[in-house]
Amino acid sequence: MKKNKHKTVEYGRYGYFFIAPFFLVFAIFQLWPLIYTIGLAFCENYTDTMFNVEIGPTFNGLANLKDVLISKDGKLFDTYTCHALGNTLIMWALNFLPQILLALLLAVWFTDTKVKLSGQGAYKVMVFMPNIITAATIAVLFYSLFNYPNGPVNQILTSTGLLDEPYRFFNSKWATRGLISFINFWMWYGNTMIVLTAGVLGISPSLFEAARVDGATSWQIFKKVTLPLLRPIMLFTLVNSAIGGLQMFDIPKLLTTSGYGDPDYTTRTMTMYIRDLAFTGSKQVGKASAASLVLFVVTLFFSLILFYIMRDKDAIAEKKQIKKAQKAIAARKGAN
Amino acid sequence: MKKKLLSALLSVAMVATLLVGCGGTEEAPAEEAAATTEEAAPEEAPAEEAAASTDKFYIYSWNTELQERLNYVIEAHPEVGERIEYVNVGDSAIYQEKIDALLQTPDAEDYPDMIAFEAGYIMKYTNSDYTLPVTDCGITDADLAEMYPYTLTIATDQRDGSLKGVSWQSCPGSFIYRRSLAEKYLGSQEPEAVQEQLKDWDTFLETARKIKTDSNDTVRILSSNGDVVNTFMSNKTTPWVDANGVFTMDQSMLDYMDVVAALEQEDLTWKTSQWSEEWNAGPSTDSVFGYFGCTWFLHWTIKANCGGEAVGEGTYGDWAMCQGPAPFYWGGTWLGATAGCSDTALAGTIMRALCCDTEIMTKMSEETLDYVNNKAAMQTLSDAGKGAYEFLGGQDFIAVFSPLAADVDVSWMCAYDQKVNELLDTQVTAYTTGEKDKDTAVADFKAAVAEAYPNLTVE
Repeated sequence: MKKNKHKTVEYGRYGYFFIAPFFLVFAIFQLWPLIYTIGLAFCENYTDTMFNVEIGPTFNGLANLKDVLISKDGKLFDTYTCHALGNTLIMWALNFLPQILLALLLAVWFTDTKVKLSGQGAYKVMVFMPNIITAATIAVLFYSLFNYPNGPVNQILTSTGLLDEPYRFFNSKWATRGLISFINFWMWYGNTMIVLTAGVLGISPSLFEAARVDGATSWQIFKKVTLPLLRPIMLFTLVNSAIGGLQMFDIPKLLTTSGYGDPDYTTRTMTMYIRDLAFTGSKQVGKASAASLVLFVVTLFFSLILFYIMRDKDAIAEKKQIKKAQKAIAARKGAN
Repeated sequence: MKKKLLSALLSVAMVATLLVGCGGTEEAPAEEAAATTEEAAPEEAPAEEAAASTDKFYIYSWNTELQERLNYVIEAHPEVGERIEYVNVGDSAIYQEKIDALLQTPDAEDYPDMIAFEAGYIMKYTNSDYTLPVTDCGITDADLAEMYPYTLTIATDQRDGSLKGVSWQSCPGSFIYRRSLAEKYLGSQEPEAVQEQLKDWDTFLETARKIKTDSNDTVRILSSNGDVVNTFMSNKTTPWVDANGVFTMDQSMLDYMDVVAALEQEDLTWKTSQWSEEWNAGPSTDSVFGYFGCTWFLHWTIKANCGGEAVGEGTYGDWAMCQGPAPFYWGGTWLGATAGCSDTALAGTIMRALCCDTEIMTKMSEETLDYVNNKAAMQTLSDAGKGAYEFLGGQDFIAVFSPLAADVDVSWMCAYDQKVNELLDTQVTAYTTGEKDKDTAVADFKAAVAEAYPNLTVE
């Protein structure tokens, strides 16, 4: 009897042994660097190029944070850091809005029992394909496609008479930003679509049938049934994309010739900028850490906003009502 | 109890696997490098096994050029070949990052014993304690006697005047043009006559316009706007950053912005970017008049892309060289020993054979047509008539480069060059394409320099 009891306790412990490796690796490779980065953000730490001597890390308070947020002539947010953040947000918005709309539309069509599209499997494979190819390959592919003066796109545009002479896409800020956004859109909408399809399939079909029997139109079904029940998956997709989008790096880094966000740093994202700071020039590790901190705060801010917008209002209202009722009961009991 | 032990063992095994996995990735570059060494030099393959027992001697560089040159050392000193572990980082853009990280770990197995430097950043290393004076490797003043003086100036530690690196090549530049196109549009293909029409920047732009109009815009003088940059860089009167850490923008660079703007706005070049596919295709077509190039550029870039390997094929033999608007200097590779070099005697042997030995260098130049950093060797070749080069229609390339190499002035160089030049390039593009006016571009350039180097005084 005693022996048996002992055994049940033991089983619980095995679990900890098996999850230990993850926490160990997490602590060494994630948690410690994270804490260390936050520490470095408040230190002066860079390399003097002339004699290749590392300076610091010595504590210098908020100087790095001030540096990344306020320009030398005292303008708030007029710094390279904030410009990089702005570029990131612009390119993220440009790729994410069309991406989620198209993915949602396709997810609804593919799951609609009334529409019954044929050739779904083939299409799903095709839209997922760009996601399998590495970003580097796609960046090089697009670079050659839009090359000046003899890239295929320029050749088509000039030979069909749409343009008189070849256009230098990579010298135009909006063309380059547009291309980067498009590549990200094209690479990721298949992935988003599959996640959303799974979400829609998770909704009980009887709900759709009931709505249809009641005479609801497709739009009404989408708005009143699909969207509300898709909320948890939508939240996951949005937060995931916000984090991924704010860390955009590979495509903008590889698509432009210099890799520093041509033209004139207008496609330099936050992570590219942090990398440039920490590994080129003076190797300003302290300032790069401060910029990372800014990125962290912004990511947190956006995630919280999304959580707030996507909260389940009905559930909250219901909880409130239950509490109110409980209070009323308690009050009545007290009165008695 | 047994189960407890077993589970502990299992979890330890899991952690160990993970850690081994991580270790594996870190070692990968060295293994890859070893693989490339074997591919590039199959005769070294048996030596690889023997090297496992002795200490490997790590040499880092960013391409295969040095590796090919090291074969001349190995030929003369076969025992060296068994020790050398040549690591090709593969991309000069990430080379400094890689080396900087490695230099921080003197105890690591793959800590570099010798490293190669490019002119754009050599001073960052020679002015630091990361490199050893060559005298520590047994190189004497007599060994350096035949070198061109500027190659020594660049590699000298500005703090105590000790020499930290040596080079096997010398890279003066010239304007390399197409003979047939010069005959057609400039009236003569002879270097003296062509030089007269390219003698300064105003004349150069005049000629560029002439070539464009006379050819009905089928030929332009250059392929990319960026081709002219090295000429202006070499003619700065002050370095970007002086000894006191003050950053100044030289008049030469302001002139550069004007010339590039003229080239861009009047469509005088094909507006490709340097090293791009279109740019590389230029020498094999009849659309580009010439390139600004130097000793290595002539062989590695123009000849390699001319579309042929003998007179009559492609544009082979249809080229010639003249000075161009101003004398200039471009690139070059130096070799130095690191502070933690495991075998300074071996480093000395390599340096002496590769960069000082007249006999080996004569042979190297004769076989590769590289312009070596050895006056005696170049003199011997020139006297023997080895300089007359079929590719240049019989022009003697040694005779052209020799006086230029002797006169190279490098007082304009500093440790900051490579990064500062990159920053300038961004702003020059913005200015020439009309995004910004010149003052804004210059101001933005200075702001970018101040951002990249917080301890500089930017005027």
